[in-house]
Amino acid sequence: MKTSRYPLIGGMALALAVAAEAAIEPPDWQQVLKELRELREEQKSLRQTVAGQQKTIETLQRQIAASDEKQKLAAEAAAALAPAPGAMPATPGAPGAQADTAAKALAAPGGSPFRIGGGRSYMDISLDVLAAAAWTSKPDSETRNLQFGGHDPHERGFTLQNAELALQGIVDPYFRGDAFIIMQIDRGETIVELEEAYLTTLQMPWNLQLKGGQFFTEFGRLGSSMPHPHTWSFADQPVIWGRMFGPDGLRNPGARVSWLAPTPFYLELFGAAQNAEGGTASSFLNSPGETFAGRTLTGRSVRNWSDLLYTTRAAASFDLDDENTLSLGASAAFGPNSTGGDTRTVIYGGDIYWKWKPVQNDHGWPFLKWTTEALGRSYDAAAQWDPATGVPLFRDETLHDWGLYSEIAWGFERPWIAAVRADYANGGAGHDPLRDRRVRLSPNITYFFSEFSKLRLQYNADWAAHLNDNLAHAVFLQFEYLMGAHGAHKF
Amino acid sequence: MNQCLTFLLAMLALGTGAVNTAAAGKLNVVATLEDLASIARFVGGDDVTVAGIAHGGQDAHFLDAKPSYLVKLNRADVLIENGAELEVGWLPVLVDGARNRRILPGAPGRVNAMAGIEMLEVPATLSRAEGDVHPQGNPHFTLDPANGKIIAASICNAFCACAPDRAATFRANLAAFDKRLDESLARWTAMMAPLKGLKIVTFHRNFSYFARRFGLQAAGTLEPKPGVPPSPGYLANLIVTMKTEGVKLILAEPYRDLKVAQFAAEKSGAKMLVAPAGVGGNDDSRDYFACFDWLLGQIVKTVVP
Repeated sequence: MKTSRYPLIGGMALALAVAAEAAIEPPDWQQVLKELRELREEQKSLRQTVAGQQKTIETLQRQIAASDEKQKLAAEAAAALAPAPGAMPATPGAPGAQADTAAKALAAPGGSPFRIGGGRSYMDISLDVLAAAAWTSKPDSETRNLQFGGHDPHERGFTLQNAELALQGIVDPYFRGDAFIIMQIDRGETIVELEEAYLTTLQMPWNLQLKGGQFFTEFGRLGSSMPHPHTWSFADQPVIWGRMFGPDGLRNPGARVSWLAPTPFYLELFGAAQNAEGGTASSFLNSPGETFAGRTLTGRSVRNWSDLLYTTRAAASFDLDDENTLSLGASAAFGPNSTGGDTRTVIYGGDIYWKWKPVQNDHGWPFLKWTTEALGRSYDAAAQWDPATGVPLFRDETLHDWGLYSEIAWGFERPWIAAVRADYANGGAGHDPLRDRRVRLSPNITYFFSEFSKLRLQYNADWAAHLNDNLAHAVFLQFEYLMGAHGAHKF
Repeated sequence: MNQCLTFLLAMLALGTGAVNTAAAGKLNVVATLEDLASIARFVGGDDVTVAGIAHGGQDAHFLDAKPSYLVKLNRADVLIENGAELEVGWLPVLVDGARNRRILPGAPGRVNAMAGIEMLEVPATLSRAEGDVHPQGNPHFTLDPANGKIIAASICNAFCACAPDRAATFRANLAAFDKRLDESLARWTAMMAPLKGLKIVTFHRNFSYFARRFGLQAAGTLEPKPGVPPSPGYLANLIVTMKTEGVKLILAEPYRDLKVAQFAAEKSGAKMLVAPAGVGGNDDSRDYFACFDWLLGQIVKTVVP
């Protein structure tokens, strides 16, 4: 009996359940299962989140522990890596304060190895900008006579010295081409100049090389190896350079041939013929209306071959050992000047350059460079009369000028360079700012942020015979930056 | 004036004469790196004279464009450059001045060692904010001896093109070089097998190819970016990382700021090895094989006490 009751109860229960289900909506098992799955997923993800957070907490705890260690290490590193007392600090500021001066990039002293664009383009394009802030003890009108270079900082306040757009590349298998377009701002006016644009042959026979176009004359060390202001070790050009070649250096359209001698050491001979006119040949024909030693210059066109400017140069270089290189050069330039109908100028110069750089060097540091260059000029100045009255103003005479500069640049510790230059020039004309006796001393210090940017602080003490109290002071803060691919520089 | 002219003509005659004898005799080879010069000596044998410019103890990025190099290039029949812009600061201006058609880009006598090399660390974008990066990739590939075979083949091709009469000799020399390199590489690999996975820190990325070849794991560089000197903060971070990662070895070339490497070694417990990155960097590394013999020997000696 007992057993027969169970199916009955079971049946009733089933009936009840069915009735209940009918009364309160039957459950959607699919839905329940889905929600259960979702709950499980959620729990799992929560568990993961908690684990992740736990991990983060542990990492943070470790980092907190490590940060004390890092701070201690950083302080120790700053102390351990600081240079010996007396030397300039490698990292300015307190130890650890400038913790991430990562931009303190590599710098290359002197002829910096600027980069070419991976050979992926036909032409390298770069822009180099030189700007300076200046303060001078003399008013701007007098400073312009002292800072005669066209790219020198020459007024109180700011000067955009030079923005040089360089376009350089291989033309074809026979030529390479170079062009330098420079821009300056002079009293609110932008001056654009085609400074250089020339072809150079790549494969002439007999060790010859031809160059043609508008180019800096290869005269002296400054003219042949580093004519562009951003390659100079100073914020301004040497006094004698401005006197001989004017504000913008000696450059004109022309052609030059050079020959590499088959000697065991480097010996190269240069010969150039260029136009003698314009402000970029200031000791020669220059421009009509300009003056020289009081005389007014007349316009003079080319009548025969002797009215062109001819320049010769011999340059030699010797490796004294693996660390020392000595270069010597001698140059001469011959051409007409326009004080008279048949007057001529000769400029001659000698240069010496010595560089020491150890074989094992840190990005080019340390190094020591010494350059000395002496120039002389013999200028036939014609007699001139007052055109109205016929009264003689100047007699026929040969004017002699000479001068030299000597500079030492010492890359004592990466990325610093300390340099000093001494200038002397004399033409024996006490009141002519361009021919009087000048002595100038220019110490400076340069800091390279990287190969492509640098900051320079320079002081000039200037003794000039034409100044009433003889002495002028000037301080320049110069900044340079370079973008793009710029060809390597000469030694 | 006449004397001057005679002198000039005599020099000119001498010059052309010198060029002619060079062509008839041994090939006059200039290589920018001693690594390349050494490989050229193996391939060229007695038929070439080879002058190397930068040795393994020098930073080849920072050579001056000395006029004496220009003279060497003027007289060269073959110029072997590393390429990948390693010599960009000084070689192009020298080649332009050398007025030597035999070594102009594209001439049979111009070898760019980079040809055929699988380059590492080629940047996707170019920005100097990243330091002194090389657009064509890491240029220090001669430190993988397997690349030595590729370079040797390029050199052999140039030699054969410049002196076809001696091509058979060059090819035989190349085969001998390759064989010796294969044998050496097997030996070196076996020697380094126990150190597989060894974590190292280098100063610059000079050893990337080397590390890949010998199963070393580069855990960082002492300079934060190529050419950028480390700040104390960067160094402190690196040292902590070195400790957590278990870096055992610091490789630094002799021309680096060794104070930095010394400090990192002291604080992290890693060993420092001052290692020239190439042939001629010390007396033991006199050729391409000796260079690896020395370097690998020193690493094993330094890490395994």
